[in-house]
Amino acid sequence: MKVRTQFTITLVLFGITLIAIAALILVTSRQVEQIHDREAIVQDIELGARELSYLSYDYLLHREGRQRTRWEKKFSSFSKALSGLRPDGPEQSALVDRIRANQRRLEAVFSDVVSTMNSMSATQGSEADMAFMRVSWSRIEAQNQATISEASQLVRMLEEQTERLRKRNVILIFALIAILGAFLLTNFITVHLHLLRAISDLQDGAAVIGSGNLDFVIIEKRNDEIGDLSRAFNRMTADLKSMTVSKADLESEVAERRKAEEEVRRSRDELEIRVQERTGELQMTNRAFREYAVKLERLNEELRDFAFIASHDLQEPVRKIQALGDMLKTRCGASLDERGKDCIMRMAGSARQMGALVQSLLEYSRLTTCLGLSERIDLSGIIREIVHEVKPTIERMDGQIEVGELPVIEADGAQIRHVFAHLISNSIKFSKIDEPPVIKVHGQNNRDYLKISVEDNGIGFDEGYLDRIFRPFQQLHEMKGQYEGTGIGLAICRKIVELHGGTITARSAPGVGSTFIVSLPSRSSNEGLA
Amino acid sequence: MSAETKIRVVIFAGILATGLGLWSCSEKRESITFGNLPRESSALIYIAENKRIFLQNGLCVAIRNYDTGPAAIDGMLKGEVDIATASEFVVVGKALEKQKISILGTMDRSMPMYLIGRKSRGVNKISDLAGKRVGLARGTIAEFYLGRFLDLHGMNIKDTALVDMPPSKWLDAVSTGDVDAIAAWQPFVNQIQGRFPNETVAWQVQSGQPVFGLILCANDWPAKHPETIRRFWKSLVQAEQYLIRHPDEAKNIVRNSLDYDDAYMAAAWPDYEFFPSLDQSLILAMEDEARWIIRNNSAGGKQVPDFLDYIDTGGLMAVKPKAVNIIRKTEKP
Repeated sequence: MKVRTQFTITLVLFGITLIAIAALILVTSRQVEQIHDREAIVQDIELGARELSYLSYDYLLHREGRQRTRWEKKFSSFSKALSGLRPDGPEQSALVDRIRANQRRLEAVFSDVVSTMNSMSATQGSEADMAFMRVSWSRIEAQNQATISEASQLVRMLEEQTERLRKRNVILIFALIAILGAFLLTNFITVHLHLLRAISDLQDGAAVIGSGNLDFVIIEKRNDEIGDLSRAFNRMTADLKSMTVSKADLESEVAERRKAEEEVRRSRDELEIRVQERTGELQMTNRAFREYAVKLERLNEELRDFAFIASHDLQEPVRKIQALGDMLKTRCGASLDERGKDCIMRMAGSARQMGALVQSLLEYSRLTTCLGLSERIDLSGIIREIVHEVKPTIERMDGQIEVGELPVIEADGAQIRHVFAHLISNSIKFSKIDEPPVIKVHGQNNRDYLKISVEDNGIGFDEGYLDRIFRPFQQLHEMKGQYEGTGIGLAICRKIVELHGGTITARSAPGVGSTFIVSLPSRSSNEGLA
Repeated sequence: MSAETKIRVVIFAGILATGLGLWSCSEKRESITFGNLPRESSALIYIAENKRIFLQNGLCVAIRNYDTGPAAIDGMLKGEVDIATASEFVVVGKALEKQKISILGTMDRSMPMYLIGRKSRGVNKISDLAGKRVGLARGTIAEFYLGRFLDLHGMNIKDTALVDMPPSKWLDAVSTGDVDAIAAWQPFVNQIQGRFPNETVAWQVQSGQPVFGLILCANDWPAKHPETIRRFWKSLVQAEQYLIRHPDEAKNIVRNSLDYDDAYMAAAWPDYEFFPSLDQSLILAMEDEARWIIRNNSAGGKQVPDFLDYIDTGGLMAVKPKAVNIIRKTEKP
């Protein structure tokens, strides 16, 4: 049983005992009160019988109506008191029945005496009267004395009942107190012997466990709070033991981890050393690259300078050849035969072609440097200027140029103009002989790129040669000789577009026409095609 | 079977019963013989006997029946029985004769006395009794009640011709006309009225004064047997308790003991009050009766005895003190 339950039971029992004692006292008080009420009535009856005795004698002695009336009144109150008596138990009932029998006999005897006295008073002498009086008194008094005796018995019986009641009450109270005392004593002994012993065992166990013996188990004999405590203690010991084991494992793991970390650190150090070595090597390589790049840049610059200088310097002898050729034709043309004139013409043509090649090479070499000034340019305006420039040629060829809506872009205006001028010029140049050229320039803007297409209905080309047409000095074999040009125009266009971060490509088919598509990053477009 | 044979059988049976009763008592129990009147007034005796209360109190009581109280007292004085019962009037008579008797207490009060007259014999009203032969058991309380009854009705017992006869002859005497009226107690009253329905006239003659059923012994006996008397009274008090708590069973015991029928018991039972006591009314009644006896010269004594000298309260006082209510003698300083 739990200690708490024991205490609760003790309290409840104590409360019940107190209530029982209070109830007993209350009930007994009420019963004693009722008995006292009955006792008072019986005492009235006893007193009434004595008074009736006196009044009977008074009446017999004096024979006056006043005494008889007093007797009758007294008898009436006596009877009333008797009728109000409620006996408790068969013994009291028997006594009350006897008192009532006495009462009935007394009434009958007195009535008989009164009747006889009334008839005798005028006829009998004094001796007879005295004899009658004595007899009548005996008859009446016998009833009164019997009543007094029985009433006295009843009073004593009620007193005994009261006494019994009080004794019973005292015994019951003492019994209750004894029961409670016995319970408390038993409880005390139980607590003292068992509880304290259990606590002592627990203390001993705690001392053993406290000394480090985690294998010690406290015996769980009880099913109360001490038992719970013992179980909790054993659980705690088990937990402690497992924690101790875990700690050892943890320490082992920590050591392993430390070892691993040491290895990692060692590896990291080695790696760092390697990285440093590699970094050093890389730095050396970078340095070598940079040196190489600088060297390359210098070489490139030297090459550009060479190309520029070469092209620039080559123009001078070419122009001299052209000038000398013109002078020779002018001064000696008349003296030269046809063969000489043809050689002069060929020499002038080659010089002119060479001049064009040098000029193109000069332009191309200039483009390799960097992008020019970036500015906001209206592409529509640039295209209109180009269209205006080629308008006489187009009109002569009955051709037409359609220009769609084009955006404002941020770019190098001169270079962009060069691109589209070259593309439109190409479309005119490679138009069909028997069909007027129709050139359409229009733009298309998506989220990332702005596409500007230059579409024509010219002779077209096989898309298998697409790579070649954007390389410098590359011309398609079938076109060589038919069309003028150095073969570097589209290479310059691709260079310009790429310098602007874009691309250039073409779709074409022989006899159908070509469409060159320039794609520029949309960041270069701010308005126009939205 | 002739009457003589019947008497022999009854006496033999009585002796046999007494002998068997005494034999059945163990040595530890005290054996006494009780002189009984086989009437309802001995109800407590029958109950104590039937319920083995006497035995439980260490008494082995042999009961010996007598027809009348005087016969029982005579038997007691002769030593036939140790304790006997009789009405107070019989004791008064014996006291006037200076007999050494002790009253131990009363065990009942009753109103069983009637005067029955046969109308055919000219008895229709009380005054008709003048000169008529009135049967009764002389020396019993019936004589006193008859005398008192006649006194209160302007007559004297000497105005009648008293015929002494035992109760066993009352019915025959009325039947044969040997008596014109008879002063009798129950159950003979019912028997006579039953024999002559509508031919009798009956008066309750006790004039409101009940008969006391006394427990008596020789006056030297209480001093020798105080414990016996105490046990005897204890038995009667326990019998009273039984009667109070089990009235129907008690009534059955009495009915079976006296071989009465239910109708008679139902009619007669209310006339009896069973309770051990000793109260002043007994002294009053006895003194009244003594004066009546003296006045009518029925006995030798001329002075009313001090009946307190005849009363031994010790036994009852020890068992039921509250039942003892008599004005005792004042101790001389």
